[in-house]
Amino acid sequence: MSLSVARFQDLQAHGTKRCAQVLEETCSVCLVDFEEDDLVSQLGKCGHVFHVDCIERWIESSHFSCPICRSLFFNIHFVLLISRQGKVRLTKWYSPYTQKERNKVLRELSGVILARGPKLCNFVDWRGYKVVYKRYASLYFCMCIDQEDNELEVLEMIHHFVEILDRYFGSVCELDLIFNFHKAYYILDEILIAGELQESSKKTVARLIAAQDSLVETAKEQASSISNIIAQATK
Amino acid sequence: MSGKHSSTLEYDWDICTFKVFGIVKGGRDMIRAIRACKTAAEERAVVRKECAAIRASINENDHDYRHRNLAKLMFIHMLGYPTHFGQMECLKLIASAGFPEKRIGYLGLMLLLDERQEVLMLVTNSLKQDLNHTNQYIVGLALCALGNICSAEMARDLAPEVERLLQFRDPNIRKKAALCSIRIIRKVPELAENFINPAATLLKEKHHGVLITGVQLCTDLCKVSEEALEYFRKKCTEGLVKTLKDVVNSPYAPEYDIAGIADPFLHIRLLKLLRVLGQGDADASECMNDILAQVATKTESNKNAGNAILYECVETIMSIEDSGGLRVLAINILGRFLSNRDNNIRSNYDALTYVALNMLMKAITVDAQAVQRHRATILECVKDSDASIRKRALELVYVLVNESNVKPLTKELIDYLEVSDEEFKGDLTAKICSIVTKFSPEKIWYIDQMLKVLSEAGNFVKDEVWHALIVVISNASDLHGYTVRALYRAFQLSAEQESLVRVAIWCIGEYGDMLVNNVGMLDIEDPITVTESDAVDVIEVAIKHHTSDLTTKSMGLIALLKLSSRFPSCSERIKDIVVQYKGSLVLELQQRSIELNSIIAKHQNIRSTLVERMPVLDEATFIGKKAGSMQSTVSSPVGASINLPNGVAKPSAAPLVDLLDLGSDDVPAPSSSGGDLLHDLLGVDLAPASKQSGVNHSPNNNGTDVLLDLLSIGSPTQTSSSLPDMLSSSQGNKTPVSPLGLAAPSSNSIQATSSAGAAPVIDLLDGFAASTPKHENNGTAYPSVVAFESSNLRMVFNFSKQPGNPQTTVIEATFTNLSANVYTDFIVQAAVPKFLQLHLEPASSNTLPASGNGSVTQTLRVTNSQHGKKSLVMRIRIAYKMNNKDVLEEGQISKFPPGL
Repeated sequence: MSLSVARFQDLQAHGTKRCAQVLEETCSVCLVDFEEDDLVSQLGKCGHVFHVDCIERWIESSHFSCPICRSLFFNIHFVLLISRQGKVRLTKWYSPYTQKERNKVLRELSGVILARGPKLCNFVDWRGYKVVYKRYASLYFCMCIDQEDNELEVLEMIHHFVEILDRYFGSVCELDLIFNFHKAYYILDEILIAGELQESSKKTVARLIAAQDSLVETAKEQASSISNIIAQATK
Repeated sequence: MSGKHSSTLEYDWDICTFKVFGIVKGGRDMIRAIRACKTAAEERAVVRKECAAIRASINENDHDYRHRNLAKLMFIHMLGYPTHFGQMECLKLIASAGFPEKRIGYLGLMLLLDERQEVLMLVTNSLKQDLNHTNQYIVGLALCALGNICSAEMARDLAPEVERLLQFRDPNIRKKAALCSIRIIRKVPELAENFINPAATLLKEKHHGVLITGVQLCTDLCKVSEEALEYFRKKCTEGLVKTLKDVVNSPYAPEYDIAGIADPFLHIRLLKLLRVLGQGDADASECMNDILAQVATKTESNKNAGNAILYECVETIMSIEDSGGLRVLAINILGRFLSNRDNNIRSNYDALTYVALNMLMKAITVDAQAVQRHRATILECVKDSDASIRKRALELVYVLVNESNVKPLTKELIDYLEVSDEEFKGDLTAKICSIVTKFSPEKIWYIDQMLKVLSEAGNFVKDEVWHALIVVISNASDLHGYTVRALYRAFQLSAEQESLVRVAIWCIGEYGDMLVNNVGMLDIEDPITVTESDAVDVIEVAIKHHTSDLTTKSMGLIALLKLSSRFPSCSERIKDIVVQYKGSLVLELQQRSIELNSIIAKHQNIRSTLVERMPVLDEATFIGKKAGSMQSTVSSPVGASINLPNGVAKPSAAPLVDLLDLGSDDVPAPSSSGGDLLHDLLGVDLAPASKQSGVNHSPNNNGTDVLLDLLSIGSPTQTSSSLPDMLSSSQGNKTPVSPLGLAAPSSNSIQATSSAGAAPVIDLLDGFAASTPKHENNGTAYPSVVAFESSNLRMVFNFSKQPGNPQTTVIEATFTNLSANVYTDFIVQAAVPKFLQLHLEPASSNTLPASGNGSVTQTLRVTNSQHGKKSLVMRIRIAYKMNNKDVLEEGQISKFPPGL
């Protein structure tokens, strides 16, 4: 992660990247006010300002989100599949979270989402983000996005993903995703990279997955024929 | 497991089934075993066993099992168990030659690792090779992994490869490379300029996947680089508008069709990029007006896909430079989202409402008038069953309120208060109170609305709300009679609403006579007959009600005291009620009861003056104080206002606490010019008290003199004799020590410990030791502070300022040894932030005698360059030798008196 470094007075002079935002005067890490010639760093996404030394130490202690707003880098922060019983069926993290954070997120979110009644809307405010979820049979598909993102589109993306799964497995059910979870990941990877949509055509995704599966098949046949040869040779 | 897939075992999952041995079972068997577990403990046991087997297998460095071990690990990882020991296996699989190994290796890499792990650096080389691989699917795998977990270092190392792949022959690789580039420029923004030209080329693509990712890449480039923004604005705006036009007007394309719309995802991404380009640029905005209008009017809104596009379009219209007509169109679309109430597709409706409210919130800054038109619909949404919709709608209503619509809106909200969920009432009342306070056209309306809120949801309002109400009531002298009668009526109907009860008690205590005599009757009022004993009834009911808490009961007792003077006929009855609390287990009540009883019984002559109506509470001060701090709890000031007679002396900055606990906020320290302090009924003003102890108080304390202290009636000299007289029967007791305040140290002893111009004052009732300045001529004086205290050492700071130099504070630090050993080599170091300058004078000695038999003093001069803006802070480090051992003590001092 790279940081932009500037003197505080330059930041003041040029204004912030977001004009609506007021430049803070105190570094929230060390609680000391900025002096004019302090070296500071303004985070790209949220525009919060810190002393360079302070934010570097923060990052070194393996925090990768803004200390103030936890703002991260990606459109879709993570994708989750949770069963109605709260079991996790698929997780994909596009923003960095530690294992501990991940478990916490899963616990919190499955609590929030599973408790929601059927008539409530598909969006949940959660820690300053929005979680868009949609239930298909016994599975909840959840995607976490920023406040300013288009929730309706994300709903559509979830549906897109489900349709492709459906096409691949032939009327997909939860068991398909349990025993072939790696397939679900392969498919997701053909739809999203870095939390961004890469393909809007279901056909293309299906074609790409099929091509890769056949590559695997070929390799398998080769392997077994080799092992047969070896088996015969060593007889 | 259904039989559906068991027949088609994939190579990458069960590759090694022909060589099974030991307890390493096939992946499917493991999943089955885990799923069969009935309890979490059972599951843990299974997982532990599997992990042990996998570890063993890893240690044997068994190639054939690597594959399946990793697959199992991923499943275990998904269940939330630690799997770090498998990370190296991913790298080995990635480094192997075959596609199946690589495929599962990369999947494991993305699942088990994230960009922070150092192991990731080891994979850079493999990635580089795979990005140059001849098999495009392997290139695809590498790009996908890079896009998902690349760190800044990897981004720098691999950016040239990715850049090259943006021109790869296969479109599927191009689109992956484009998304990879997004990740790279987000990690390392200075690489952005390398990607500008290739990204612009992508915008001309026909392949939807490449186009979508290309547009996204451009959007992200614009965010990180001004240069890119300028470039795309100049060169690409027209092209993008044309692309969008083509997509909008494209014929039916089954591959991309969703609900009759060709590729809504592409629509949305194009609109997003146009928004970035149009923001702050009139020409670019002008260029896209037509197509935006077309999208806004032509898009079908009966399916989610269409609405998603409309939503994006609205956002774009609101963000780009103003083109009047379009904005109205946009807000009308949002209005339509809101008004689709009859729509059968309930979930879709909810989603639309939610986004519409969100957007309207943004739109209100742009065009408040247009949003006002949808007020009625928004108001309906406040009553929605979904909490997040309600919350948004309420916030929106809150910003929509202005002078002209405050009355109908408040009425709607208050009506809804009756039926709303319990958990929503807190929010709702807070907003209503805030609206009413902000926009009330007249006081009587304010009081009416507040009484309605209190009667409806008095248990949900915060303390400052009813505090504010009392302040307003106190200021509206012509409405006292009306208010007290209205409260009396409200109390009869909703006696269980705590804060209503409190306000009612207060008002009846203050204005009870107006209630009985129907003083200040307004035309709109119904006549009401209340006898004196009815009024007392109200208070009695409130005190005895089981839900009433300490604050209410204490207020009730005070109100009774007031009524006993106002209604002499009820005096006996009131006495009886008060006496009942003599034996209360709650000290607070017991004490109030005893004190009030003694006032009623023994001091008839001064009672009427004692319980005169409260002076008008100063609104400005109250608001100021409220802004100052809001964190204090209700009960603490009650405890402080009347202390136990044998309580310990309070810290030197003991606040004056007002009768009503209106100042549950911090009360200003005595030295501040408190011309507006509310005074404790029984607390003693500093001014007379300091006279008593024979010390002249400083001129700046004159402010407090002016205050009407309820007890210091007449001149201070009178007070000195009348106070002790009143509170105990020891006539003519002129000592400054309260007969009740047994534990209060004598003024002399305090004077000894706190030098620097702070003379102690003994609060007659509370045993407070409040300090007032001793010197008349040193301008301002500050209380001394125990700046640091450990088991061995105490450091006291005394402050003084030289006249004419407010920035500089002279601090005299006095160190006292609390241990039984002599300290030698006693050295003090201090550090301050940059805005302060510190000068340390030499200490009086470097030896500190044991057991407090003497002290070391040292003078510090602190110059505050931001005087008045910031207060002092200091870190100190004290080093000394005790029994020839080095001791080091450190501390931070931030509790300096304000104003230094």
